[in-house]
Amino acid sequence: MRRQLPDSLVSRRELRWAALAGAAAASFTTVSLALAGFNSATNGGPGTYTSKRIFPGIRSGAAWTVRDASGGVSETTADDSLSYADAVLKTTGNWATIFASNRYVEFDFNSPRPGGVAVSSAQFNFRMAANGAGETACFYLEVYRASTSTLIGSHGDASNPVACNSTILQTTYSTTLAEVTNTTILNDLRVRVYGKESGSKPMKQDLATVTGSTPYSSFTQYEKIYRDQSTTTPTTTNWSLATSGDGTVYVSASNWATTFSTLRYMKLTFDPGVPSGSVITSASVDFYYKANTSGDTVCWYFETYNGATLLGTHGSSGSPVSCNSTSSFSTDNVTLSELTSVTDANSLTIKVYMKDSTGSRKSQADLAQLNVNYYLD
Amino acid sequence: MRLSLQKIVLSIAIVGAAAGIAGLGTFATFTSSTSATHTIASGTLSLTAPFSRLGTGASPIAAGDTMQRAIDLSYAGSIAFSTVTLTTSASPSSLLDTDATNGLQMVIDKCSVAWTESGPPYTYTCGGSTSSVLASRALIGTDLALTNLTLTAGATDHLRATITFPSAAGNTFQNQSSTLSYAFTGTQRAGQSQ
Repeated sequence: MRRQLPDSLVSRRELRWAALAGAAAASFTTVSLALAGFNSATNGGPGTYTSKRIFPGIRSGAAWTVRDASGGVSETTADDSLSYADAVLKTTGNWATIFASNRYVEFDFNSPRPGGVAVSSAQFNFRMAANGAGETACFYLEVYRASTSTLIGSHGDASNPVACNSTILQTTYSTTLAEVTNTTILNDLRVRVYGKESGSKPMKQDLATVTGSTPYSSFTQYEKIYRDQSTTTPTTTNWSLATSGDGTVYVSASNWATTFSTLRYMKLTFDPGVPSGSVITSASVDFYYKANTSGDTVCWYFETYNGATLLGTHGSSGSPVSCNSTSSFSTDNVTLSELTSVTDANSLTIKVYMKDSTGSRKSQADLAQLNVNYYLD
Repeated sequence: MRLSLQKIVLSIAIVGAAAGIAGLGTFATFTSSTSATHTIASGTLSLTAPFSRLGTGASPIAAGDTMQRAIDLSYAGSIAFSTVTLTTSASPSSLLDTDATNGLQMVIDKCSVAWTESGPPYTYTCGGSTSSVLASRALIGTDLALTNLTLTAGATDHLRATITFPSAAGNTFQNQSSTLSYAFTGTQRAGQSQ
């Protein structure tokens, strides 16, 4: 049987592909050979670097608790009315019977926390009641960044209020603020409460705080600016001791004497919320004051306490921290070298003794603030 | 032109047989030969770190902190080095190494003699002259070229890495942790005539 050879053993197309593949292989080999070479390696590490849980920094917070014994007889409670459920009420203006976008009250909170720390279980605590028997007060709320007025959360709405109180019994309503995820937001917080009252009357408020936790401590944020727009016309009331130069001052409850007396004082309590385990590197108190009557001279000195335990004395009846005979506030900053423990810082009370040159005159305080520089490893 | 397979095979067989006979005749004469041998052996290259503090981390650090760590690089072998590069990596990783601006920064210096160490925390002073090996940059990098190294077999370069946590690092850098590794790779000199 005869076999015929094909016309060509390899076609031209196959030859071209073979040539191309050969060239590619040759090129690959050449490049590989060129890149190859001897090398030797050695390692350093590994080393682990971990940053502090809280960086060093000064955190400041005002006194929200005031016990005023300027009269030398007894203590008058003069706390911020919205910071405690203490039956010291803040009454709004008259609401309408229906919600309106221009009828609300607003609370800007203080900023005493180290930023950048995770927050859990943040909640807005609002304690209120209707104005009178048989009336009903309702509210819903929005949460904003105070610095930018950016809305970050809504809770309830005009159709579905967060709560209504049909009694005159003060009741606390706590609303979870899931949008408050860290202390940077917490330090820049504004809560706007829209309200209505069935009798077109005021709402009686006892408490407006934000509470929650960080990995290191629990916290309470206190309102420092209160805006009441329940009537649609806004009025602003700042907590007198929280911000200097805002035109809102704390006037002593009674007149001071011409001489210092251990019976005449103001006790100021702070809530710095220094986390357990923190290292306090420095602390100080800002106290801005002047006479309530122009021409008078007022002087002061103070003691620091943890409960009933005296921690330190700054100035004395014979040598006050300072005196002020001007119409401007004396802006005193006094170092608290005795404040080295977290427990003492978190329980600090300062007892301010004052006197007035003419007697039977009051004093003004524009700022009472504790500054604590601390870090947490 | 078409050829049958049989004809082709037959032709090749005939030509092959003829060539074989002719070849036998050609080699069937007196012969003489000489030979030479030589040995070609490849060289060696060795980069080691006989001393290193790079495994010493730091905790807890705050913005503005600076950490100094020394490492000696020794060169050995029969082939010279041309370069040494550094590759750094982090595992686990955090903002400390992923943020190129406010995360950890590194600069490497060389001392002509061994650094004088104190601490911990470690700090170093140079009793000789210093030169820059790596300019300040983000700590994490790949194949970073190191300069001013000796690179000759038998020599040792005394390096000091200064790691800085920038002061501008904000609160988002709190409670972060990174484990850093450093790989130094030395490469042979270029090929040459031998």
